Amino acid sequence: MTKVYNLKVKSDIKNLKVIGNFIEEVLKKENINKDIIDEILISADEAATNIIMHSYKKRPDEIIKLKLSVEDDKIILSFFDTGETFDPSKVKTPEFVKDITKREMGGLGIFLMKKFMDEVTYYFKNTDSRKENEVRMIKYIKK
Amino acid sequence: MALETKIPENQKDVTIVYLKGRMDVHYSSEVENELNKIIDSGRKKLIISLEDVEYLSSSGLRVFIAITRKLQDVGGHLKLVKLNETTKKIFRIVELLDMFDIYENEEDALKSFA
Repeated sequence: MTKVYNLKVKSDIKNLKVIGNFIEEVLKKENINKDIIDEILISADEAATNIIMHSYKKRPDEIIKLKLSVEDDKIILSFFDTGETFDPSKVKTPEFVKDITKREMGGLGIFLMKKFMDEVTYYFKNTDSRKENEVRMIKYIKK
Repeated sequence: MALETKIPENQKDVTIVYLKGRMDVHYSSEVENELNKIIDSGRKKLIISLEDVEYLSSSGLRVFIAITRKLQDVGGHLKLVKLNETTKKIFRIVELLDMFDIYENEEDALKSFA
């Protein structure tokens, strides 16, 4: 059985907390294991932050939509935005150099998303009337 | 926003900082500003307690890297205490677990400064 939960928020960074609280509440209600919840929360935070900072360039009045589907064997979390399309292939995989003074800071967010979620896929819909980006993250679970 | 801090009675050159909640980009930015102020005021020995940190995003990781660099520039040191298992996992995944001085409790971190 699939249960679907939706949320719509403005792209203000203060709403990262709202997104996190929403996801946590839903997943606790669905009796999802705490470790899994934490990993999904971190991935969600990274995805939403990327939308706010890069797709919407920190504009706080745009819309972020979230769809959380809980199935028997997986959790699907999608974020939707109408900002600048993000090209994940342009993000370098971070290099973990041993010298902390030489560590570059970029790419960590997507790296964490890919480590914590089993699948991360980007979709772009661009028709005459509508443009929408989606990042869909899937976590396989045993309930 | 002020961070909760403590200066131990027997080691007044150390500042212990207590972080709380989710280290998302919003909170991380505020934390970094406050930590910079602490270091700029001359405090060079910093212990950061993550006991009440629910999780750490990449923004949080960047703060710890930036603060470490800033402290190194002034001859200071950073110790981290009470990381939960999820936070340790994040540090491990990005290969930072061995690059920070991490302790299970404040006492051990303080002893390392003595």
